[in-house]
Amino acid sequence: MIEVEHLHKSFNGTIAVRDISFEVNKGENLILLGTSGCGKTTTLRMLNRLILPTSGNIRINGQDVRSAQPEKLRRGIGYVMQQTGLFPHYTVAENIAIVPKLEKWPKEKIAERTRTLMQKLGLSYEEQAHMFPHELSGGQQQRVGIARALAADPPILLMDEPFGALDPITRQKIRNDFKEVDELKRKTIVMVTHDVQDAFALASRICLMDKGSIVQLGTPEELREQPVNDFVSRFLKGEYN
Amino acid sequence: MNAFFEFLQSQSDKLIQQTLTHISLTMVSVMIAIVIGVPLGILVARRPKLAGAVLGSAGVMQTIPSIALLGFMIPLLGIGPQPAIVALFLYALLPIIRNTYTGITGVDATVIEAARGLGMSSSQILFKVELPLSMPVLIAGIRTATVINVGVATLAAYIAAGGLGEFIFGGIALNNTNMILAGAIPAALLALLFDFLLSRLQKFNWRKYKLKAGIIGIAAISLLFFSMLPSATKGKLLAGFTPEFMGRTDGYLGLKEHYHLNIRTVVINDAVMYQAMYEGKLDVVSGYSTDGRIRSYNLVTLEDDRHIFPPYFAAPVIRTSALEKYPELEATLNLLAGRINDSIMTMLNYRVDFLKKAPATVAREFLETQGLYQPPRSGSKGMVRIGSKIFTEQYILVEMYKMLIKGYTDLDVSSKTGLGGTKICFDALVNDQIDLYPEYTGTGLLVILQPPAILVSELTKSKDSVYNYVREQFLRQYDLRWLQPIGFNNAYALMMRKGTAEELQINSISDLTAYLEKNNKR
Repeated sequence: MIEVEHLHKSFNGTIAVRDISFEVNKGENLILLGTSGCGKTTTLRMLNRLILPTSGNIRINGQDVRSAQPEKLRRGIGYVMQQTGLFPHYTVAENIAIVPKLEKWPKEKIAERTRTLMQKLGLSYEEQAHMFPHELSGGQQQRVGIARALAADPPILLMDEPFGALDPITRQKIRNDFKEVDELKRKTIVMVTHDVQDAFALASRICLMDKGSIVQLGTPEELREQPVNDFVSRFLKGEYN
Repeated sequence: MNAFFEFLQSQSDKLIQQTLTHISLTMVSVMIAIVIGVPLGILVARRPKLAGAVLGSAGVMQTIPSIALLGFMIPLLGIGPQPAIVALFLYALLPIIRNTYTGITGVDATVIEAARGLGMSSSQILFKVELPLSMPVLIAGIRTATVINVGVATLAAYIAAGGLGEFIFGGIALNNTNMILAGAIPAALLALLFDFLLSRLQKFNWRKYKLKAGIIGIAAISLLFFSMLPSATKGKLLAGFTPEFMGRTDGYLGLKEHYHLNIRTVVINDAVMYQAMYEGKLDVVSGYSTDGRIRSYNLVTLEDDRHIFPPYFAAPVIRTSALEKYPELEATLNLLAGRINDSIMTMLNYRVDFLKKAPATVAREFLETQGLYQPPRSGSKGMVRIGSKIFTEQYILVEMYKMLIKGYTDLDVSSKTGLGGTKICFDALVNDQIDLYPEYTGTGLLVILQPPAILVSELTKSKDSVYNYVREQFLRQYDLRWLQPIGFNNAYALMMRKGTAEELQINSISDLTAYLEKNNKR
């Protein structure tokens, strides 16, 4: 579904991503794992063209992302951020409705979709739909962020440290809930995290990165049982966290 | 207090008109500043390299003194509301650009990134995210600009744009506190009102009431006010009068009463009036009949054939004690009597003011051509102290008297020039700090003696009766002597461009009235 070939990115001569290639299959959860500054977020942001690659190709459903209009491309890819990026001047319902509105859905359909999504993500439509983001807890804000990314039912979801700003208990709770949301099970997900537990809890495959390159790409079991080097086994033990 | 409310009541029509003009000037200029400043602010927020240059130039505008800025506008845009609006617009620009820039660059970067990630285009991000989120800061800038402009708009009265400044400057010129307050209080209230309304707007939920609808609404209101501004219709003659002249019974009020003069008028500052006249923006102005600018701008004064302007004949006023001590002074000072008429005085003023010659040089040249100049004698007999007010004409006269006294007597002279106004000169004379200074009959009558109004209007019908009255009263009340008048009459006068006056065959104020009547009927 997503094909990345020889992707390379440097900022003013500093190399951030060094010649990486991988594929993400339909319905798969690929976790980009690594320490901060390893290039995982840059890689993610190149997938929806928030950053343009220096060289290399990205194809989604066989189509080069550079051939698509960027706004159109991004509306077809859900995007969740660590700092939620919720619009502070929009209510919860309005935040969730952003992409459907850009896509000019009819009002009733948007309202119906918002209600369904909030319910699925453990939010109360009646109580919270008309609240503003700052009136919600961190965990609730992150749920709204995920609902917003899912609103127009995009086949692909990009998530940048979605649980990064949460305390450990909320983090575990929301991660477990996250696994239960049926809509998410159907999505092709690329998620960036530095947290080994996140990775093992959610990944179909893990792509461990260091200094802009891929160190090892495989299922959680492969990484645990056949680490390619010392870095991998030490990283999985949590020595870099 | 009662007098103030009576004044308000008597002037209510004018007050309402001026307040509306004031609001229009402020709103229209701020609106133009928004239309230009907000996009500029957005541009510099996008291109930080431009920020220094744009904010810097807008800042320079802010530092130009308001009067100077208004003055610069006259050659470009003439007088009236247009140049005033341009000047006010330039003042409003900086706070609006700066706050737009600050507001937009202050929007949380993660929110912008989220908006991009969700697939919003740049213009959608601008209108749905950046502008709504920076609206409180942006409106704070508009608030600052508006409050500044309510204040600066009072100066618009200097260039005939109207507004509450007309009352303020008229009141200052006429020493009428009620008139000052009638302009100042509404201006202060307007500033507070605008500030309050905009503070409400700042808290307004911009998402609920569409941004675009709001902008269109405010633009429509401004246009409405713009249409209410006094427009300069062409064809008929336009008069520009100083705030002082507008309010005086021996000024515009007298012209209306005695000549039934019916001319379109604007209020304008003395400093820009002649320039505007020269540029053809005005056809008739009020001024003083010996002003050097009459010559430099090629104007003519209209004859006051019904004698409503009190005569201001200049003559030396001297202490009786000084005359007794040095009796030769009288004949010496009277050497100038009748020698200088209006046009000669105008010419002498012109040489000093515009040809930048020293008053002493101009004085000596004049005395030489008149055959009056004699080289100084010993100067050993004693000292005569001469005072003067701070203006060109008085400086020239004092130099002449100095040369005459030194040349015709054995006295020496010390001059105390620049003694401020009438009051300071007169007090110095009474208190024996100076021996003489040149004074004007009208000033002696209206400023020093201040007789009842009926007597004034009776006296001002002839120049001799004013002179005789002040001579008698000064001697009786203050023991001061008026010597013979020098000849010129530095009174109020109406002036026109020479070419226009000749073309329309207007020589006197009555001619002007007749011309206007004929043309108004048509």
